[in-house]
Amino acid sequence: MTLSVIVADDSTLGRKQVLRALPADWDAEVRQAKNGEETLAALREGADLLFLDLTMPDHTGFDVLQMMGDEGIACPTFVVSADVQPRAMERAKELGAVSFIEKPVNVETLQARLAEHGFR
Amino acid sequence: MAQAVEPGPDFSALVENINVGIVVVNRDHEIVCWNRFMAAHSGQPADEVVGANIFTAFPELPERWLRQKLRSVFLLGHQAFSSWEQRPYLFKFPHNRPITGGVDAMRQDCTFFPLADASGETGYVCITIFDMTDASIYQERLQRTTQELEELSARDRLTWLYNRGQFETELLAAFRHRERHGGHLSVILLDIDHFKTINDHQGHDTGDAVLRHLAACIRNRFRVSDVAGRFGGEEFALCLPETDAEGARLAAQRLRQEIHDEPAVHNGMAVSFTVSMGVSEADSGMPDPEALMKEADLALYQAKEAGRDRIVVYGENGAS
Amino acid sequence: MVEPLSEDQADALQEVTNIAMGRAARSLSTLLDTFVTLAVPRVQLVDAANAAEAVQETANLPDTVTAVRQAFFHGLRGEALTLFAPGGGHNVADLLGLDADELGDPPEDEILIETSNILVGAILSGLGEQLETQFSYTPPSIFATNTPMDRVLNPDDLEWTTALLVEVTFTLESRNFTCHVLVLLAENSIAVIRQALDRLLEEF
Repeated sequence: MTLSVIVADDSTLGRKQVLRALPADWDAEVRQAKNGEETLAALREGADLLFLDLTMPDHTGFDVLQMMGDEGIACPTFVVSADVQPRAMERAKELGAVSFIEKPVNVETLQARLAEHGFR
Repeated sequence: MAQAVEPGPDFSALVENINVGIVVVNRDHEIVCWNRFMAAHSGQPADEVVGANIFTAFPELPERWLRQKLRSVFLLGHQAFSSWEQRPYLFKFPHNRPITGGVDAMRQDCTFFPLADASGETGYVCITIFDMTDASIYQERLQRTTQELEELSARDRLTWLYNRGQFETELLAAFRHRERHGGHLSVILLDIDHFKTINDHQGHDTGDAVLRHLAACIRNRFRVSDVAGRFGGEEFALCLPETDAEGARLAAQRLRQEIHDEPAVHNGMAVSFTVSMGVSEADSGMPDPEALMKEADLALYQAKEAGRDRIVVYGENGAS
Repeated sequence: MVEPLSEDQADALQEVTNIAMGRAARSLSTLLDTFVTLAVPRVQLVDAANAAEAVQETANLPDTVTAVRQAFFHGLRGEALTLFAPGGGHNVADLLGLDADELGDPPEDEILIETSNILVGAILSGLGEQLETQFSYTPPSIFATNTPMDRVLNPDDLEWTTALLVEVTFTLESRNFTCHVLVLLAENSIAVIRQALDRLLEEF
């Protein structure tokens, strides 16, 4: 079954880094979102996996996670972030993120995390 | 890394003899390197100090501050600094300057940078200490001169009383103070009688001598809390806080008396002169100090009209 | 006339700064044991004549600021200005181990200088790592105290006519403390950074 994936990051380069790191042989349909609003809109249409940046202009990644919880959207979320403070990671996990990946994205790390959580 | 191509000098000798303090500590804060600069200025040779905990060997050091500084370098892996302008010194060493200029100890700039150990991790912090005493002395001198310059621009060059601008600033402050806290405030406006004649007939130098003498009399007769200014030419003003009209009049009379008793002296010759004075007291109806000055000015005008060499208090004898 | 960065280059610089900012925030938060809130970094080309205006438009700056300056060189040349609201240092003094103890009240200056050094050091090393360039930098010093922005970035005092301005803002939640770091890359460095960004973009 085709995996529905959303990559959310206000930076084009940031999105490209994640896209490049996705397994080449994946059967996935990938949508891109540039801000919190677009991310939520895409989520409401239904998704199997979300890569979420924390630092976005309108809503932060934390806001998005919060709103997902409020709206009852259950989509496994990998936070991909430049904000690497220990508390940022804790907070993301508390808000329901499945994993936290530091930027710049390392291909092996990302794929290993995907495998860990059954996305291979 | 900078390395000589041929076998170069002994780098440990370089570290030892360079004219900058070098102290290296490990993660346990033990001293692993102590160069000659440090030995010479501290009086503690390396063999007594290397291997010891830096805080035990030098209990005078600001321990909490230094621990935090070292911690930040070990943790973050990049340089930290300390400037003599914020913290005069790290190690209290005597300085070698003949002129102290109020400097009791060597002023120091410090750099703290990480050094890797054999495993490649940051194992050490190197503290370099630069003697900045000269710079600090020059800086302090410069600051003093600038301050004097600022004072100069607030004062009249000849009499050393405040210039008009500064007087008005001070008057405003006193006026505001009275508005808030109540009490009395008076001003006296004085004008040297026939000053133009003195200048024309006896020369400008004589005129200057008269002005200086008047300023001296003012300084003698008035309190430190009173503010005196020269308004240019032959006009002066006095601001007397906590003084009512009567008090101001008495003060004015004492000044007038002194001028009578003690003439100015120029080139060995006595130069007599008189002043006319207008006095007014601030009342609650006045919106600003200009209103107060205006009344004093009117009173001064009346003093002139009435024959000079006298004091008129605004509001008396139907004056308005 | 300096060419503006292309959209891709500007986006790449913003992302690279974002990562460097993240490192800086981690440094500061580890040292101070408190959470640092980050906003999206801003990148723009500015002329000396309207630099102050450009900064005021985008950042939420107080009327007057205290500025700490560090110059960097060796690879990329420019300066980093860290702007604080005057008096803000006291809110974080204790976090830096600078309570009023050994020498009486810690001077505001020392607190701001220390904070600035931590942030700028981390940002520059983060940028340097990603762009594969090096930085050496001067010790920090107070550049202006309680001064309006247009005097801090007074065109007559600036050594450049055009600069690439990168702005990042850090806020300490718990302490009502915000500071803005301006990284100004002067004309001759803009070409260097363009090349570095192009190298980065080539990977994608």
